[in-house]
Amino acid sequence: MVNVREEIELMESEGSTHSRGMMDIRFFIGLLFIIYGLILAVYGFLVTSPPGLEPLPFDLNLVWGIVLLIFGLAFFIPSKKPHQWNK
Amino acid sequence: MTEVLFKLARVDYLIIIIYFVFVLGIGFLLKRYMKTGKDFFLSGRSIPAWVAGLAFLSANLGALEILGMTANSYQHGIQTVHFYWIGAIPAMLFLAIFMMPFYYGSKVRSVPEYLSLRYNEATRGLNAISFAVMTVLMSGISLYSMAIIFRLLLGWDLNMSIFVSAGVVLIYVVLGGLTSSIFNEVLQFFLIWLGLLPLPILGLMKVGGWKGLEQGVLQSPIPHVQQWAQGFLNAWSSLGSPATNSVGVDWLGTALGLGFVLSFGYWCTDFLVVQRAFAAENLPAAQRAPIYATFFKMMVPFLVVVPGLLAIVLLPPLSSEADKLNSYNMALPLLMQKFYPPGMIGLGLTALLASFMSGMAGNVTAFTTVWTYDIYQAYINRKASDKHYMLMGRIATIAAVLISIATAYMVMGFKTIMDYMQVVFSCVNAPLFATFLLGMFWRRATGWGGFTGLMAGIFSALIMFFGGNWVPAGSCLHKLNFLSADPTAMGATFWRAWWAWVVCFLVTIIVSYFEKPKSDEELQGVVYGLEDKTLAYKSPWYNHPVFLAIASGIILIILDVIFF
Repeated sequence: MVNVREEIELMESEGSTHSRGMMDIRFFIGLLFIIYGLILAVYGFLVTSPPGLEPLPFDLNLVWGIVLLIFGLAFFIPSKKPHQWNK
Repeated sequence: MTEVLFKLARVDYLIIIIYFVFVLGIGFLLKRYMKTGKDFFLSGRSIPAWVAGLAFLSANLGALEILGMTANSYQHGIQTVHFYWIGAIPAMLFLAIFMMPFYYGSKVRSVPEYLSLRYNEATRGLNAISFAVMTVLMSGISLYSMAIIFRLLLGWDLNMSIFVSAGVVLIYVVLGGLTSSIFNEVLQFFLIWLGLLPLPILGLMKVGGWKGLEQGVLQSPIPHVQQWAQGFLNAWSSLGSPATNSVGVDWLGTALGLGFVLSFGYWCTDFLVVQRAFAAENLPAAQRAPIYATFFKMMVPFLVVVPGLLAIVLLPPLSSEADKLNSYNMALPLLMQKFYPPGMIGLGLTALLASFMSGMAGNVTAFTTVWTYDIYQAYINRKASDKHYMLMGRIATIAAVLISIATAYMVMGFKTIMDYMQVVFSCVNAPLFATFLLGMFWRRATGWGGFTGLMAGIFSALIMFFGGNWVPAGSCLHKLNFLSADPTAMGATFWRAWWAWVVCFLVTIIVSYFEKPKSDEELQGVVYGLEDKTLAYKSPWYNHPVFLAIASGIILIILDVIFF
């Protein structure tokens, strides 16, 4: 059991590369939803829904695509500012 | 040619492919940051609280759960919220405030490792081996369920689904370790919300808001709904006794079994979830992570319980046969078919695919860490270099994925395994919580006390379960509410968990008194009263974990009152 503490100390002291400017996850989240938002919005704009579905007063792809786009931008833009991971 | 639910358009395929590209891309990009064991297994302990919190929640929010809970809500109504509210929030808050200082402060790298510091190697071994086996089994079950569902929905070949998903998970976890898994879990979280949120929104619009939904449920011609009617819309009022609600439980069984033992046993000790908090950048972050998770957890019923109720009103009656296209489990996909055009369908399916895959990845990373540190390093090869353990971690990842594939095929042959997994989990997790509670708060608990207590707890749960078969039918013993060999009997599961916990608690205490107590030096940092003082931190009151936890608790009470 004393060994366990030694092992832990050893590993903690090895340090990590994470503190040195690792990828900001907001960049990935933002990027993915910007891409998805654009795809859905453009598709929704160009293509009408097939007849079998519940009729809606708006095109779901278009509306939700825009929602995704805004969401994506909300994550992507702040991720471009330099960010300290390890304060 | 069997019928399938969805025919994908090219835009749907595009959306799915982009997801795969992203997930693999993240793995490749993260590889260069994986220099040490700490990087690979613990994300370098540098993850911000909100990310750790979302990963913590996502590790638990798999597609099986989403589909299953929607089905549960179709069958039992609003009572399903108990799994998200009383059955999770108190435990998560307890973990954050009372247990994290010991977990994170002792710098252990896994849950079993804590047990080796606090109790002894035997206790660690028991936990490590049982956890490793269960987690890799769950991974296989996840894989199998995903393949079955995608065959039902899209007609995808079972073998292709299994191998492609396993392959993708293998690549991104081998490359990017825990960080890759965490990033993908967070991505999964947002995909689930953004991919499925339109369903309850559009559904409520269609039925005329919440009042319209209530009306629809009360007037439903579906037999099982008619039978319980008002009970479908109340979380607590029909829990007076097992006979007044469709689940067959009472409020005491729910509170003790689900609310206390099962939920605490899971959220406080299951390494799959706890590992994400270990990755946080410091102690207050590790404490905030589960608390942030509670805020989101409380919102999940909107995504899962509401659609179940909507399905009662908007869909033709569903069948209880599991593998049919109109089974309860298909409630959510059937709603998607009703509302989603091509495009949204791709997004919704990607959300489901993402959660299956990240569920598997979570199991794989937890297994790999426990194998490498708690089995390999602890018992096989104590003195190797960090680089060696990292290599072991990567090999273990490959092995875990291969075992998962094998398990998936095994489950294919013996489907009842899935029902029994729930039983196994409750037999092992319920007593484990007693072990931790005593370990963290009672200095007198000793190594062998912990081990025998845990063994006794597990065995007593198994006896209670199988005892249902041995006791002659009609005997008065059957009145004991925990005696039932039916794995789907919820009430029995709750009571069995409670009693297994009690057994472990008592046995641990009794056996500990027979053994020499541990010295203060041995217990530094792992027990109440001997906490590591250097971990004390200052935090503005509005961001302090205790304040956040109280806020969360208040919201929990308000929600339970509203839906009483």
